[in-house]
Amino acid sequence: MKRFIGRSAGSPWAWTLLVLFLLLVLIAKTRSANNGGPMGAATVTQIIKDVQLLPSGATAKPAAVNDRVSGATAVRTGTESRTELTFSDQTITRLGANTIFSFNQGTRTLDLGGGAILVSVPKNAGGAKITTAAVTAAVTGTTLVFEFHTNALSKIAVWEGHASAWINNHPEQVVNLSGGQMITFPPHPTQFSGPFTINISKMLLTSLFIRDFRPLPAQPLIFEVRDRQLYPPNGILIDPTSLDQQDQNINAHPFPNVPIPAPTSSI
Amino acid sequence: MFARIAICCGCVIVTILLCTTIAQAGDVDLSQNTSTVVTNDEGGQIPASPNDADLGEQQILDRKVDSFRRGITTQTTESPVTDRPYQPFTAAASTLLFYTSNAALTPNHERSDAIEATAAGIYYEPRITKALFGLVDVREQLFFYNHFNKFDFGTLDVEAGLSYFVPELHGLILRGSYDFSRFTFSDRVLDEFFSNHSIVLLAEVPFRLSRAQQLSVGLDTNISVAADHESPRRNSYETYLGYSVLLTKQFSMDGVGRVVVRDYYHGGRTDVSEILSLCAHYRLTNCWTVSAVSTFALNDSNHDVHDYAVSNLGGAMSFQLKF
Repeated sequence: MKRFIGRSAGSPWAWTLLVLFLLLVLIAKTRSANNGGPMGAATVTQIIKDVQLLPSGATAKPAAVNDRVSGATAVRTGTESRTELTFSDQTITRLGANTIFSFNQGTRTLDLGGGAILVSVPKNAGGAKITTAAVTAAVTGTTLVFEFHTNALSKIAVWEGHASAWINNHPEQVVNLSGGQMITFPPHPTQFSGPFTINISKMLLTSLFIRDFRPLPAQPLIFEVRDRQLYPPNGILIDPTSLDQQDQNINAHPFPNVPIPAPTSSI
Repeated sequence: MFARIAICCGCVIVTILLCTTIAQAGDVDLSQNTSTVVTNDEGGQIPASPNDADLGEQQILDRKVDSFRRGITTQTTESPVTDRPYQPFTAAASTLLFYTSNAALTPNHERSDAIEATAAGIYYEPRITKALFGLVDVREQLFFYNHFNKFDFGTLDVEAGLSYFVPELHGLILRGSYDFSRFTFSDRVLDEFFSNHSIVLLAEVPFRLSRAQQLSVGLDTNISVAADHESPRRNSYETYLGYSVLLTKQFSMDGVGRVVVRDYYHGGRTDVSEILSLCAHYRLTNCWTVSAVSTFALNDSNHDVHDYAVSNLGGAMSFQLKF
C-alpha cells in the first residue's frame, strides 16, 4: 500500500481547499474568542401593557418604545405586562410579568430583583452575569430564562448555549447547564434541584417570551437544541459526491463498448 | 446532457410539489402558535411558579430520579395536543453537478468529466421510545456523465433499521439496518446490472466543542449478505472523523476524513480508500440549501490495476421537508 501523504502531495486542489477550510475554522475560532466591552445603555424595543421606568432618585414614569435605559434606571413590569430591552451589543433582555430589573452600566451584570427575564447574549458579545439576591448565573453566548422570587420557587432554563449558576451564600454549589437543561431552587436555597432535561419544543410554543415578541436572533440555535431533542441525530455528511457508488459502479458496470485506457501497474 | 438535466430537474420539482402538498402543516411559526396545552406523556412537570406563563410549559424529558430530584411531582393533564408534533417523515431531493478528475477511476490515463447526479428519497423514522427510532427509507439516485455516458447509472436503495441513542455515553449513536441496493442503467431504471443485500452497522460519538461546533468520530460497517453478480460483492469497514461548524445562521461547513477498507469476496482483492470531503452549505430557507461540495480520494488496492486518485468538485441544490 502506498502512503496517503506521498500521493496526495500531487493534488494541489486537495491541499489548497484543506488550507482554506482550516483558515475558515481558525477565523471562526478567533471570532468566538473575542471578548466584548461593557454593556452600554439599553433601548426599549417593545412594550406590552404596563411598563414603568424607575430612574434613581426620581419618580416612576411609563416607558415608551425607543426610550433609553441607563444603568441608573430600573425597569418594572405590571401584571400581564412584558417588555424588551435591546443593548448596544445586541444582547436582548425580555422582562416577564411583575418583574423588576436593572443593570450596572459599564459592566456586563444584569440584576433581577424579582420576576422573570429572558436573556439572549450573542456569541461574541463577551457574556453576561445575571445576579439575584440568592443565585448568580454567568453566561457566554447563551439564551436562557431566569425566574426569581424570594418567597416562591425559582428557575433557570437554558434554551441554547451554556451557563453556570451558583448560590451566593454557598458558592461551592455550582451547576453547569447546557441547552435544554433546567434547575430550580427554593427561597433561601442551599442546593439546586436538577439539572433536568426539559422539552424545549413545548416550552418555546407556550412561552410568552416567544409568543408575544419578534423572533430572537438566536432562534436557529434554539431550534437546533429543539431538533436534537425531537429527532434522531443525523450522521455527518460523509460522501457528498457519492464516491462509494461511483466506485461500485465502475466495479459492477458492464462496459461493452467503453474505450477505457488499458490499466498498467503503478509500481 | 441538458435534456437529462431537464428531466431530472422535472423529477425533483414534482417530488417537491408532492411533498409540499402532503406537508400542509409544515414547520410551525412559533410567534403565531396559540397552544398553551399541557400534555405529559413522557415525563414529569417542573412544579409551578408565578411566572410560568412567561417561561412556558416545563415538561421533564429525563425521568431518572436522583437525590436532587426528590420532591418533583409528576402531573398529567389530558388535553388535545396542538403543538409541533414529532414529524417522522422526511422527503429529500437534490441535484448535484460536479467535475471529476478521474471518471473511470483508473490508475493512469485519467480522464476528467462532468457528472450530474440527481437524488430523491423518502424517509420514515418513527419514534419507538425516547431513545429508539425506526428507519425505513427509499432512495433513488441517477448519475449522468457528460462525455463518458456509457458510465451512466442509477441506484435504488431500500433500507430498514433501528437507531438507538445513549445520552449517558456522550450521546453515542448506534444504528443497525438492512439495505438493499440495486444498480441500474440510468436510462433503463428497470434494467439491473448489480444488486446487493447488506447489513449496515454504525456507531458514532459526537463531541460538541461549542454551541456551533461539533466533532464526530464513527465506525461504519457494511456487510454484504448476498449479491447478484458475485464478482463486485464486497464488505466495507470504515472509520471517520468529522467536524462541522455553524459560521452564521445560514452558513455552515463540514469536513470529514474517512478510511475505508473494502474487502472483496472474489479474487482476494482488498482496497483501502482514504477520502477527504469538504462541504460548505448555505441555507436559503427552511427547506432549501445550496452547497459547495468536494471529495478527494486515494484508493490503494492489493491489485494495483484498481489503484486510483480522484478529485470531485461541484455544487448542489437540495431540498428537505419534514412532515
